[in-house]
Amino acid sequence: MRKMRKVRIAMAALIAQAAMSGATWAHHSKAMFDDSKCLTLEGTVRNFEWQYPHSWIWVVVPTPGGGAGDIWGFESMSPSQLVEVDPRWTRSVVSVGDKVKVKFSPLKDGRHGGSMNNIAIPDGRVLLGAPNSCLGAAALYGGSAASAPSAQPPAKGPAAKGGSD
Amino acid sequence: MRNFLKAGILLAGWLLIMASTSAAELRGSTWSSIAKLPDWSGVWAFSLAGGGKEAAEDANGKDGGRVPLTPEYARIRAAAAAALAQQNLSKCLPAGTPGVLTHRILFEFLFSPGRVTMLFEDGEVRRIYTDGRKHKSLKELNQSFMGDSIGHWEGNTLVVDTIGFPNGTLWQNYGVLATIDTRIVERIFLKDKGHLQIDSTLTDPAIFVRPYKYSRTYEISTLPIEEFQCMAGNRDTGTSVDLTPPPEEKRSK
Repeated sequence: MRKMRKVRIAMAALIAQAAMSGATWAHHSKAMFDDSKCLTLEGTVRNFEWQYPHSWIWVVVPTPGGGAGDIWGFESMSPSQLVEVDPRWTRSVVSVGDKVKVKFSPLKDGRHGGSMNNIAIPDGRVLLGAPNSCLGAAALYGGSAASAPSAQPPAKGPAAKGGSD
Repeated sequence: MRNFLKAGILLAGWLLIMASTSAAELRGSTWSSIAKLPDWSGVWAFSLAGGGKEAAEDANGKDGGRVPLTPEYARIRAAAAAALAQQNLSKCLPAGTPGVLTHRILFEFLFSPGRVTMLFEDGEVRRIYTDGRKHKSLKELNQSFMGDSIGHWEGNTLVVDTIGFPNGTLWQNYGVLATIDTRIVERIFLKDKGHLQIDSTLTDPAIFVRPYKYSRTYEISTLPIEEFQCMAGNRDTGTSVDLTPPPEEKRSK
């Protein structure tokens, strides 16, 4: 068991190094995300899409002054990659209704989405989502993630209700 | 005349025996000969330690001259890397030969008479024929992502010659496609217990000024290969992502 944990930690380190070296473990280009930025948002999980080629977590983020909140979409790696990082993901590790904190590199076009570097789940664990985000902020998993700069979303961002794109 | 006829019959008989013997001796052509081949069972995974770093550098141009590109292809690669282009996978198309082997896509082997089949996690299939057949001419070959792969065993090494893969990517990312003249010769063997090595040599007068050679190793993974439905879940729109949220789920706890 301890050996398996070591393997997963090593895998997480390798994936992080791969991101730094330019090896993309991602299925598509990261050109649409601004990896020089690293933002943090808190909200409630609306959907968890455990799927290929990328998993997505949808979070409702409260808006100033109340209301239904904004829906944000966060992309991470594929299930077969997420199960190898430590702490390991499973299909049920995140549930609808969970209060979470997400660290991510936002979409360059300003819409409510991003590449999720990690997610803090209710039991206190922080799960690695896409190590090749937040690179500009030197916030790689196992590195200085905890000290990465964070920011709240723009107060008057585009409304995501009903979707965009 | 009678002697001539006898000699002819003997010669025909000998040729028949030789032909059937050589078919039987072709390694991997029968179930009984497959049992004597090396054990490549399990799921294989490319890793940074197996050459992932070098593969990325070869793709993005930080290879220090390791990839002997022609000036034209040096420009093509630089433009693709600058655009972070990925021509195939981001559209859920096959990465093809040899790009699929430079990405962390799990794969496994199946041995059957006259054929070694590589099954990749993302649904790509590579059929390597070991039944003694020859390539069709390039004019007759279907131009594909995986190409036409003919293999034979040299000891415990599978030697594979592949042509006809102009849709294949040379690297997984920063996609640069092969051409109709690209050829790859691979030597696949167990490096040690739990590690598979593939030594590759690519040639193409349009792309390389001399053969491009590299070795990659793959490690045994404990993961099973699961269904990978790229199209069903793909939100990549080419230059951005589809941010349409799925229908709201009921709270599960």
